[in-house]
Amino acid sequence: MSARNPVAEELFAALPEADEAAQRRLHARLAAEAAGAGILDVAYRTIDTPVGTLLLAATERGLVRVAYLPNEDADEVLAQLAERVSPRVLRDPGRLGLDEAVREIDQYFAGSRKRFELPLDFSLSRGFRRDVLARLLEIGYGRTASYAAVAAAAGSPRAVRAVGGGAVPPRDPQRRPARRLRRRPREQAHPAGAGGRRRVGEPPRSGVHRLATPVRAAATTGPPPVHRLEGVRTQALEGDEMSPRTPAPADAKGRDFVLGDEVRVRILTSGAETEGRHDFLDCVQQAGAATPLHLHTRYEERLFLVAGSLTVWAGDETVTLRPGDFYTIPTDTPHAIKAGPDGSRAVLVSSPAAFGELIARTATPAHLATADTGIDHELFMKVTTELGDQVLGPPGQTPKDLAGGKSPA
Amino acid sequence: MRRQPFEVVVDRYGPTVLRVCRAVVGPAAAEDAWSETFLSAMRAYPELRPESNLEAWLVTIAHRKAIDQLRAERRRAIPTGEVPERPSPAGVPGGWESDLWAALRTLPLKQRQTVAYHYLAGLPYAEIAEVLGGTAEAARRAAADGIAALRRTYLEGVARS
Repeated sequence: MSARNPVAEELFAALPEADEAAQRRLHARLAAEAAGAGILDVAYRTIDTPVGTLLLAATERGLVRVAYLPNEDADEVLAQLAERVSPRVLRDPGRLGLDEAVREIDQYFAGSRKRFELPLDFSLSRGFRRDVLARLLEIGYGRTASYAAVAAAAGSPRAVRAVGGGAVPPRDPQRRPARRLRRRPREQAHPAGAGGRRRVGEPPRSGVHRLATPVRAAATTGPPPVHRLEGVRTQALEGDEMSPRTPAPADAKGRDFVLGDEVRVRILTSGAETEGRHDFLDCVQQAGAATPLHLHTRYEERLFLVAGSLTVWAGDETVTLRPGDFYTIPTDTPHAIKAGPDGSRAVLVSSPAAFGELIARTATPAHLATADTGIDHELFMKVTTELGDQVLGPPGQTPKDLAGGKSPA
Repeated sequence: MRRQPFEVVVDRYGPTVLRVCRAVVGPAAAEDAWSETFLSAMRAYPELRPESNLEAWLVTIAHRKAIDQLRAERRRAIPTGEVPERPSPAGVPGGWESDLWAALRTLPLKQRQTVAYHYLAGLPYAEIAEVLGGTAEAARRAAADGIAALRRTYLEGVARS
């Protein structure tokens, strides 16, 4: 940087090359003066949470980007903000509403907040890529993170209280959001119903397909109070083995998993066995089991339906697969999948391999599973994000909903 | 070429610009000059061509802001019959604030500027000439004279003590 002249170096040796205290002072002053002059276009900071470090960026309009730093490179995120929002980006702990954002996120992870009230700036939300912002702030981590999130909500009385009492403070703010699925009789799952109260936005209590609840209502009033899975299962999919027609590999142990009580998976071929080229899974889903709206940035997903029926919403298409049907979901295509009334059994191939790893790292080995086996949503979210997946909306949302909800920007 | 976030610019060039400001206007006004420089740079940053030489651009702004600071200081100064003993603002004996700045402030402004822009910011004389006016050769001579004077007044003084 400076010319290396021995005399000059000796001359200016007393003048510190880096005066960190002064730089901190000057940086804070610059941020304050820039904000005062209305030229601080983007402020950002990081925050440590139980699921990892997040980078929050805000404009005058609201929170514009939430990046999950275990998976995203902060420099790259800032470069994108500079390119797509404004290059006038400065680190700042509290300006442009960042202090409020941090407060709400802290409350969320402390269990005393169920939904976010932060203003959002959707200027980065091009098309389907609402990424973590939508995930974190519109839906919430725990509830949408997994393929069985709906079932988890059904089993969590606290979650249902949150639905019934939108403005009522939670009873125990110290408790963290429920992460484990518990089986409860339907009546217990609806304490709010006992008082005969039903709030605006709460779906009707009868009927199974609560997933059709308008997404925004569901998102802002808490998780949809959902159907019991019991009684709608099909015996054909309930057996001890996946099916006698699927010969167990020689080393079947360690290949069978359950994800909550909605999905059972046998990893027939793992990515490790193909040097990552693909994996090959036998997936059994219970009736009505639905994935959140999501996309895969790093792998294609191929489905071959063996039994039951399975509806796929992918991009502009909606197809209901019957036994013998085959469907390919390309990368970067927002999609949601839901098992039909008799459940479904499908062969699932991801290439390059990914889904098997997701299952192996987040689901419960079948021989350890009990009736209470749930899903560690934080872990699921962490791994799915690590694999390049993006959760775009809660179960029940389809790409169409997302396209309709995007901002004009 | 992508335009970097301004945070990166502050992080990368902030320390150098602070050294330049300190050398040109002294410890008392340096932070004001730095703040004015970066606020002004941030205002204009979106219009700057991405391939621009950021360091030269910042030094050009700092140059103008430093002159503003020096003028303001002169206006604030109250003429008296005697030259007061100037207290060291940071009060560290032997620190640059008392010794180096004491030597720098005896130099003509143009020598101080060329020395700072060339030896602290690393600007070639041709670019310094564009900032200061005049020729590259004149800038080179001013810097050489400045360095020679500093050797006499500062380095030899340091060596004696």
